[in-house]
Amino acid sequence: MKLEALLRNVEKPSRYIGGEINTFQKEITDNTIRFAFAFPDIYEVGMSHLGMQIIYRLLNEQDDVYCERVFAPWVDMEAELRKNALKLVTLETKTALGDLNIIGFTLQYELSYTNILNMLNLAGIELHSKNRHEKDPLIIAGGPCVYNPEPLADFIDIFFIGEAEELLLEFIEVYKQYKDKKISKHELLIKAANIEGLYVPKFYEPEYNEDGTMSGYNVTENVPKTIKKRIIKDFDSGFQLESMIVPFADIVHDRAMVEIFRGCTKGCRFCQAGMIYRPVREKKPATIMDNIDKIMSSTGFEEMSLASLSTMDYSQIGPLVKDLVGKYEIDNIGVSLPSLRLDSFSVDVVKDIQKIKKTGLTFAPEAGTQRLRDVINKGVSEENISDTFNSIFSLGWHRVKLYFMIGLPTETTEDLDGISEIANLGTYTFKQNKPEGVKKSVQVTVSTSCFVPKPFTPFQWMGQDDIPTFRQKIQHLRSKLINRKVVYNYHDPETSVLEGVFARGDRRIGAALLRAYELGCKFDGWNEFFHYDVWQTAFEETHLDMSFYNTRERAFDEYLPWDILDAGIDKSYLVSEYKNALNAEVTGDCRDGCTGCGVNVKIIGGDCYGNA
Amino acid sequence: METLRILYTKESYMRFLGHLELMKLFERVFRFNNLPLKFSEGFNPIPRLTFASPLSVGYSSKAEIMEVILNSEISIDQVKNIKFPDGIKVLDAQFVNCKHSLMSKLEFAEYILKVEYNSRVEQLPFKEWVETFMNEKEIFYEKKTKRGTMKAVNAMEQIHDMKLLYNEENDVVLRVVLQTGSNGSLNPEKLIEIFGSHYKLNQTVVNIDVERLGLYFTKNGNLTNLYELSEEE
Repeated sequence: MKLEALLRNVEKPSRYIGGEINTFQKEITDNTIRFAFAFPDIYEVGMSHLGMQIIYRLLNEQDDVYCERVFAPWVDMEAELRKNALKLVTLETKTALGDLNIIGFTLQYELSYTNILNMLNLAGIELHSKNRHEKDPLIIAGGPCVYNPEPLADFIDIFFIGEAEELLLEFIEVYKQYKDKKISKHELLIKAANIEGLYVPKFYEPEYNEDGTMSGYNVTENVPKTIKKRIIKDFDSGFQLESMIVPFADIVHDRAMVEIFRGCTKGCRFCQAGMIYRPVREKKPATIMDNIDKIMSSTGFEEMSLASLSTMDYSQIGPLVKDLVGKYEIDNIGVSLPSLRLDSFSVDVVKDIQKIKKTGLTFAPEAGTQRLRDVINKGVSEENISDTFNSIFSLGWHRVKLYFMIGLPTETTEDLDGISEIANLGTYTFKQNKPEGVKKSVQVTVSTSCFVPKPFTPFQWMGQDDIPTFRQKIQHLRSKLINRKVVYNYHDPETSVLEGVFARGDRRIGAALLRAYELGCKFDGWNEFFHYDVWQTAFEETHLDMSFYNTRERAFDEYLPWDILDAGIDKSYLVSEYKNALNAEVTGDCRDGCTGCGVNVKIIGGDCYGNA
Repeated sequence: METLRILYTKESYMRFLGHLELMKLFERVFRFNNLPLKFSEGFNPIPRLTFASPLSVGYSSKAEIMEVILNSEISIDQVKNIKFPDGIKVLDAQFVNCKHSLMSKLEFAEYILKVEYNSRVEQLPFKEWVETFMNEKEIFYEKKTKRGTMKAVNAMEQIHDMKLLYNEENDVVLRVVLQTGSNGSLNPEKLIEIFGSHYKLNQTVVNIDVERLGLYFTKNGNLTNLYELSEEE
C-alpha cells in the first residue's frame, strides 16, 4: 500500500506531504550526503521552530548535502504505517530514514525523548548506538536539552553542544571522508570527538560512587576531557536566514521569524537559556531589516515576529519596531513581539503595533513577592508592575496574562499570596484607569508552571518540590484566586517532575526511558498521552529512583552528569549566584557591568559587547 | 477594483491540502508575487479571495476556479507564470466584469471516479446497470440538513450524467456529472454507495479515487464551463 492511500485515512494529511513553498528538491548523486532534520513532535510544532528553518537552509545551500525533514507522525498515521508495514519517510523525497546518511534530532524538551525512540523504531533503526553498524544512519542531536545529554547517551552517536551553524559544516567535511570510505565509523567518531563542540558519548564512560552519585567519566580514547560549547562569534555577519519554508497546516507560530539577537544579559537565575546562550550578540538594525525584506518577499507571510530571549532588551528595539511598522503597515503585514518586559517602555513600543486591535498582553513576573523575585534575580519591581498595569489599562487593553512559577527556592505561603495580590492589583488598576467608552470588563489570567531546576543554572543543585508539595501550592492558589475577574490556569506537576528527572538525569535513566517507551509512552508532552503511572512502573522495573534525580539536593562538590560539558560559565559563578539567591541579593544586568560569569574568558577570549 | 479569475489544477500531493490551507497558500503566493491585493475594511483587513467550490481533501482536480479582487489590473502572463507547489498549476486567468458569485451560479461538477472493490467485479454487467440506473425516476437517500434533521433526497434528480468508462479486475471507472452548489450536492462517494446497494453488490468498496474535471452552470439548457461565467447570465 502506498503512502498516498494512507493519507486518506488520517487527519490533517498535509502534515506528511511536503512540497511547501521554499522547500528544496535536489538532484541526488552518489556524493550527496543525505541528512534528515528530525523533530520529535508533530509538524505543527516542529515547523514553528526557527532552528529547523535555519539548519534546513544552511545545509541545503551546500552543494553536496541534501537536508530533508521528518516529524513525529500523529498517532493515527503511526497506526497506519504500522498496519501496512511501512517505514517512516522524509517529507521531501519520501525516503525511509534508514536509507539516509545522518539523522539529526533537535532536543527542545525532555518529554519528547520517547518520540525519538519511536521515530527510530518506525524507521526500522536500532535504538542503541552500539547495535547500529556502518550501513545504518548516524544519529546526532542538538538543541538546548543537549546541555545534559546523558539520558540519551545510549541512543545518540554524537551530540552537538551549542550553536550548530559552523559546527555542522565542520562535521560534514569530516563525514565526507567517511562517505568516501576513506575512514571507518570508529575513525569518524574519533575525528568528530576532536572537533570542539562535539560530544561522542561512547568514548566517555560514567563512573559512580557507592551512594549512586557520579565520580566522573573514564575517557576511553584520545579525545578531549571536556567538551566546550560552540557559538557563532559574529552573529551579524554569519549565516543569515533569508527565506523560510511556508507551512501548509495551521502551525503554532505561523509567521515570519527573524532573530534579532542571541543570548541575554538579565541573569535570571532560574533560566537555563539565559545561561547557556551567553554571551549576548546583537544583529545590526540594517541586517535585520535586510533579513526581513528577503524573507517577506519570498514567503508572503502576513505577520512577522522578532525573536530572541528577551526582545525588549534589544538595544534599538524602539526605532526598529517603528521602522518595521512604517514599512510594512501598507501591505497589511503585522509585527509581533514574543515577550514583553514588565515596564512602561515595553507598553510604549507595543502600543505602536496594536494601534487598532487591542489583543491581550502577556507578562511574566515569575514570582509573587519582591523578595522572591530578588531570589531568582528577575529584575522586575513592584513599581514596574503597577506602572505597567496603569499604562496598559489607560491605553484601552482589558485582558492581561501573567505567568508565574511555583516551587522556586525559598518560596513561602507569603510568596504564593503575592501572586493573588498582583492579580487583584490588575483588576483594581483597571477600574481606576479604564478610559471612557471601554465597555468591556477586565480579565486577568494567572498561569503557574512548576519550576524545574536545570543544568548550568545557579539552581542546578537544589531539590525540586515533589508532587504533593506542588499540589498543596496549587490548592492554596485556587483558594486565594477567587476574584471573579481572575482566571487561574496551572500546569499539572506530574509532567514537571518527570522533566526534572530527565533535566538532571545521568546515563542510567536511559534504561527507564527505553522501558517507558516499550510500555507505550510517547507524546509525553501532550496531556492526553501522558501516563505518570506507566513512567513510575518503568522506573521501578529498571530499579531507578526518580527522587534521586529530581527532589534530591546536591552538594556543591558533587560531580554532576553534565560536568563533562563546558557551557562557558564558571561553576564558581553559579555557586556564588546560588548563595546570592538564598540571601535575596540581586545581581545586575551584565550590560551595565560584567558580573564575571566567565564566558568572556572561556568562549570569546575578550570583552562581551563588541557590538552591543 | 478588478476581479481576477483563475483556473487551476489541484493534483498529486496537493490534493491533500484542506480548503483553509489552500486559501492561505493562495494568499501568501499572491503576496510574495506582489499582486495588488484589495483588502477588506475593518480591524482585521484580509484579502478578498473566493473559491467556486471547496474540494474534499483527497480529491484531485483538473479545473478549479477562484477569484481574487485586486486594486488594479496586472498582466495575465504574470498571473499564468505564478509558481505554486508541484500539483497546483495556473491553467488560465482572466479579468472579469461579473456581478454574479461563482458559488451562487455553480450547478454541476464532472468527475472521474475510480472505484476499487475488495474482489473482482470484471464479470458484473456494469454497462447495463449504469444504463438501467439512469432510467430510474426515483431513488431516495437520507441526507442531514443544516439544522441537523434528516430529509429524503431523490438522487436521480441530482445525477445529470453517468457513464461507465471500463471495469476490469477489481476496478470500476465511471464518468459522472453531479449536482453541486447552493441548490444541493450529491457527493461522489454517496453515489457509489447508492449504486452499489441498488444492485445489491456483494463486493465492498476499498477505495475511491475522485478527480474533478470541470465545474458547470446551465446556459440556455446547456452545461457551460463556470470559468466562462459572465455578466449577462
